[in-house]
Amino acid sequence: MTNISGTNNSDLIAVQMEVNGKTVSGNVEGRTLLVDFLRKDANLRGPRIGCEEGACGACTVDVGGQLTKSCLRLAVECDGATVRTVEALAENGELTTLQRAFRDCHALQCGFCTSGMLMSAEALLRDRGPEPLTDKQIKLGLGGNYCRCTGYSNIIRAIKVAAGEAEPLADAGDVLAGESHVGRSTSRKEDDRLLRGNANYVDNFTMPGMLHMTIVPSTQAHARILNIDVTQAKSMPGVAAVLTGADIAKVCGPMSPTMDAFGFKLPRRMPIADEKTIFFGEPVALVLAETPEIAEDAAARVFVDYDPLPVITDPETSATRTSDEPEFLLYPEWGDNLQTHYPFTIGEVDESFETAHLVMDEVFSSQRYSAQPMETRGVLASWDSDQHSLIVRASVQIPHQFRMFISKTFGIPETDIQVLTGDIGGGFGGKLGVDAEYLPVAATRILGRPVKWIEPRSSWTRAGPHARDFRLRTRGAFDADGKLLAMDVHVLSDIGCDGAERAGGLGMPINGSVYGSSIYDVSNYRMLAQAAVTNKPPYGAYRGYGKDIANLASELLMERAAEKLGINRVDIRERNFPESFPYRIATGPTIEDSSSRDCYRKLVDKIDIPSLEQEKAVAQANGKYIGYSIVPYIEPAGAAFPGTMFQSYESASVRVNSDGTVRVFTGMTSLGQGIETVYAQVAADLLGCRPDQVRVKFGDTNEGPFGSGTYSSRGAMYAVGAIEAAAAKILPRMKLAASRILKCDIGDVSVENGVFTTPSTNETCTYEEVAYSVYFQPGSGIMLEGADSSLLEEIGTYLHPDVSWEFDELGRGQLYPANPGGAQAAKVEVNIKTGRVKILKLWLISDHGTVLNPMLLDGQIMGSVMQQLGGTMFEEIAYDNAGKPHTKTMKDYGMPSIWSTPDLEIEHMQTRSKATATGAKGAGEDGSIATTTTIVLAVEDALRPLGVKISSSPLTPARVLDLINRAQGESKLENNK
Amino acid sequence: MVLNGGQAIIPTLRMRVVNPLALVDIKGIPELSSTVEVADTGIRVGPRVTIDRLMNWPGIAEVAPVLREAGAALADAQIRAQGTAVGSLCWADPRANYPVAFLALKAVVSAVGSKGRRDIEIDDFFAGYRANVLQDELVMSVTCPGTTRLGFSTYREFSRQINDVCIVNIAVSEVDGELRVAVGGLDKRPQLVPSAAGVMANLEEPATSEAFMAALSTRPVAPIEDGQGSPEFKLALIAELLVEIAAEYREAKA
Ligand code: FES
Ligand code: FES
Repeated sequence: MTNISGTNNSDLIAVQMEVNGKTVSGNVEGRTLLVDFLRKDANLRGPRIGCEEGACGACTVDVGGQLTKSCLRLAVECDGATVRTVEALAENGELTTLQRAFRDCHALQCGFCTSGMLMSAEALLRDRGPEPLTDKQIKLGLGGNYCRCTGYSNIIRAIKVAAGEAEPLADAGDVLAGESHVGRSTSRKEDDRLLRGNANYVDNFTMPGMLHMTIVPSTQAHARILNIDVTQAKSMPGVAAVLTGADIAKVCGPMSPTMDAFGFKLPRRMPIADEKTIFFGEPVALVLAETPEIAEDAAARVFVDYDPLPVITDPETSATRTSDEPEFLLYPEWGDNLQTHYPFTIGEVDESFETAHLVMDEVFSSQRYSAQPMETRGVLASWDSDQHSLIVRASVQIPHQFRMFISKTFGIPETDIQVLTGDIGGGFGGKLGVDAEYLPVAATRILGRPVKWIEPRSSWTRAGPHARDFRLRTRGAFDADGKLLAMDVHVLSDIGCDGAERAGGLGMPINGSVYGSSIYDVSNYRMLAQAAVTNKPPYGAYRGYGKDIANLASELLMERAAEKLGINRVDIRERNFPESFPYRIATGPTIEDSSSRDCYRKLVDKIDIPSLEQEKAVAQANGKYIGYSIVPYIEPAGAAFPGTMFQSYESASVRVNSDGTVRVFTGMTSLGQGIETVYAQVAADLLGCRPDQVRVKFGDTNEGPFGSGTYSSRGAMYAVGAIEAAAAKILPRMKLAASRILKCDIGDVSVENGVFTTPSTNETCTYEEVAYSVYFQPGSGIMLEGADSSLLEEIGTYLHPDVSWEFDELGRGQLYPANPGGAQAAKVEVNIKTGRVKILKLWLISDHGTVLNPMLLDGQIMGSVMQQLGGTMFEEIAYDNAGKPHTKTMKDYGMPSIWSTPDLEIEHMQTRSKATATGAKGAGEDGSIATTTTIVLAVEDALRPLGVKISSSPLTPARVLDLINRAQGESKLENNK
Repeated sequence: MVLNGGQAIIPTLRMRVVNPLALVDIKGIPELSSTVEVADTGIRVGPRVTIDRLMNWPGIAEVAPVLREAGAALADAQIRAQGTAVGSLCWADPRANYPVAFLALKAVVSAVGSKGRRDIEIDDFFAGYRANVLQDELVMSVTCPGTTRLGFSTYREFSRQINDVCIVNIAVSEVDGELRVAVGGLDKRPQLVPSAAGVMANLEEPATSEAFMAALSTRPVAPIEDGQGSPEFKLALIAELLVEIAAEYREAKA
């Protein structure tokens, strides 16, 4: 959406271009961007808007043979030009070599960046010389295209494959008799449409009579709203309405909480500021207009008078405020500023600390950053008062809960609401909260016209859910042998204005402290999780979800205690692993097997510590600082919290159609994980058909049973379990019908790859024949006579057996049923003159039980590693004392680009889960858990001669250099004494 | 306001940082050249020369490598294909690549406006943060000294990630036997640092970071605030980059 202001924009200018071989003409404003012309006038879906700041590259097209970001060109500049977009690649309908290479290297997940990536990659391949492509050339060519999902390494590989210089990752060829589809690196079904630029992200939809919504953001972090003057904005031609809190309140109540549990306090706020604003960027008014441009223009003419209130930006002071100072309480009715204050103690903690040989007392704090999916938030809502029907298309991870929340917030019966989610351009937890998403719903409810809201990137950064931003203090009592006797973990998160009502991040400080002992054996344990409110945007779920904090809590202790005690860092960990598994950690959850420890041991062998030590010594002798680290981690997966959107079950509906195809409807949403592919592999194995017969559907609350959605690495357990349950009922019916066609006993029927056979006669019949016989010829009355049902359709549900909501007398339960384990290692080099940290190598071994599709699992791991690497090194949303963000654009934010792709080696162990039929545990967050720990500890290892300890992130050159200088200053002081 | 490649201006317009009355697209003006002349008498860069084109122009890599290196480190392929070197100069962001490059090269900017044509020495070109001295004028060309007058030249920058907006950058060039060191990212405008050039040019003494720090600390600082570190930190980075460049310079002179 174009947001360039101007006074004479009403004069339209005729432009004409040749777009993908077709002449396209239109009348545009002088300020209309090329990308908007392509999307609107040329009706293309491939060029996408990820930032409109010239940063992300999702809008990349070719103009006259030159690569360009189409958000950095005006349409009028390109009058008469020839434009090529991703839609032109597969010219005769066939995917090009490059597109196939992307598919077969899993070089795309959500696909939002893919159109732009392909255009840049095509130009790179076109312009390259005769020599083999180097990584550097590829990075030079793709440096302007950000991808939030893949971590880039598969993209680099795909380009080499397209250039004929590498092999694809996907398994080629057919599945042989007796082999399963699960476990294969199958190319993804979703990729065909994504590679052609045809995906159905919410911004691709329009409706007749649709209005565009723009949010007028608060420019004060905390202030009473005295007056909102909308007269100028309202009178502008093309503006249909300007709505404020007072208008919205007529149709909308307080937001329905995402988590109403564990005594969390709730703000009970509306999705728009009413009497006061509580963060910079909070919506204060909405403009609804015929075009996004007009809406933006009018939004700039809404004038708000504020009466500033004291601004709370520091969580530590916030946490200490009491009802004695109500002016410093964000929600005075709470009596304090803590949305949760969650203590727990077990065992002899104080005694252990008093008598310990060594007490370690460590701190670490993280900056504020966020999920930043390439697609921002977006909603298209339409209310039909005659039909009493509300249809909401939205980029959310939890369509069913969203429907429930809308029903509660607006008082509309759930039956009248349909929520649709198509392709989602990345989520990573960032699309689990719901706040501004209510506003288009409110607007359509009031105005009776469809309303579309596509959030600008600046708004996502300013007002979207934020994460991390914690202060960790972890204390450990050790004996002289390095055995951990007791731990005391305190996590305080800056949760902004909320972490449980409009967003779901409140579990992060809690997880950080509940799992603070990681896989180590320690029975005396104290924790305190605190969530302090400040005048900042809400605290949303983000991949890792506090397991990152937990990993730091134990590993900082292990590493630094080892140094103090003069124990080898591997030995100290070995001494603290539980003697046997399953092992119940002090706070209650049970770690089911030793996979984390086993991965750790395997990784210790793999990285070859003696040679790393040698490398380090040689480097030091040459004035260089190289260091490494290696830690185990656990990934509690499949969150199931009573009273929250994180529910403990999933559903699937499975149907064999009359043509022998299989439809699987899952309650999960598709954010790039590859559910259409993996669930088809699973269903094919369970039903004895081929994956290509199976179509996986999702994201329509009218189509399937209530499902819980995508979060917490749960799909491989919950969604797969539900499909399993449904398939288990359908397969016997198919076999029964087949036995009647084959004229044999049902026990003699076997099925594989869509063909039923009976060994006695060697007769065969196909899935299609059997299904048709049930539905039509002659029909189920005959073919399924005596069966438990006459339908080839079932709803399956799955409840993980290892969730326990029965809390013991200490309040301990098991809210994560599985704990996939792993280990990660890092090797870094630090330049002590500039503070630059260079990540030389990362290793990761993980155990997720049975691997359903190795290529896709690795994709999740690479992506999560890269995200957490970005958070550890660069990403930040910084605030000043008035609660105003310094970070405005994606470039300011520090999104990791292809240049930061780490050299990452991944391996797997496969300890089958006893709780799931496939043996799979959840997966998807590995890299988010220990990447910070490993980088931090490796940097400390490199700087050990200087005695540098790192207590905060991001590890910017300025921060690292400052630590080095201080350490050197101190050692100079020491020497001078 | 003038729209050339537009790569810097369009996002600022979109974010409503600037609100010009009118935007004039100069791409169609035939007098504005999109070619480079590399000659003994001078290297003349036309205002429409894109960064890609300048980087790859025959002779540039040999005669004035700083112009190629500054381009290679600039943003990304898309922006290099659309943005112009003269545009980067006129944008005059203290961390942009071509302001320091042309400053080190002792370029002359010739501009034309309603009051006629004039030549502006690069040393007088910058007026402040993202500001230049042009007054309703268009740049017709930027001319660097001719091939016979140029010696060693190079460009370096330090950024969080490669091709991100840099924290500091440096261009060095030998013109008529004299070293010029231009530094960006520290002050509101790119600066020439003769004292640092002196340290580098003195092949008798080792060019250490301490020596550069000493040279740098003699000059006034009007720091820009970009959240990327203190002026002291940036000075330390500059000193380190200068040490690298000095080593290269020594090698070239050996
Ligand atoms: S939308 Fe154009 S670069 Fe992001
Ligand atoms: S696949 Fe690149 S952003 Fe999602």
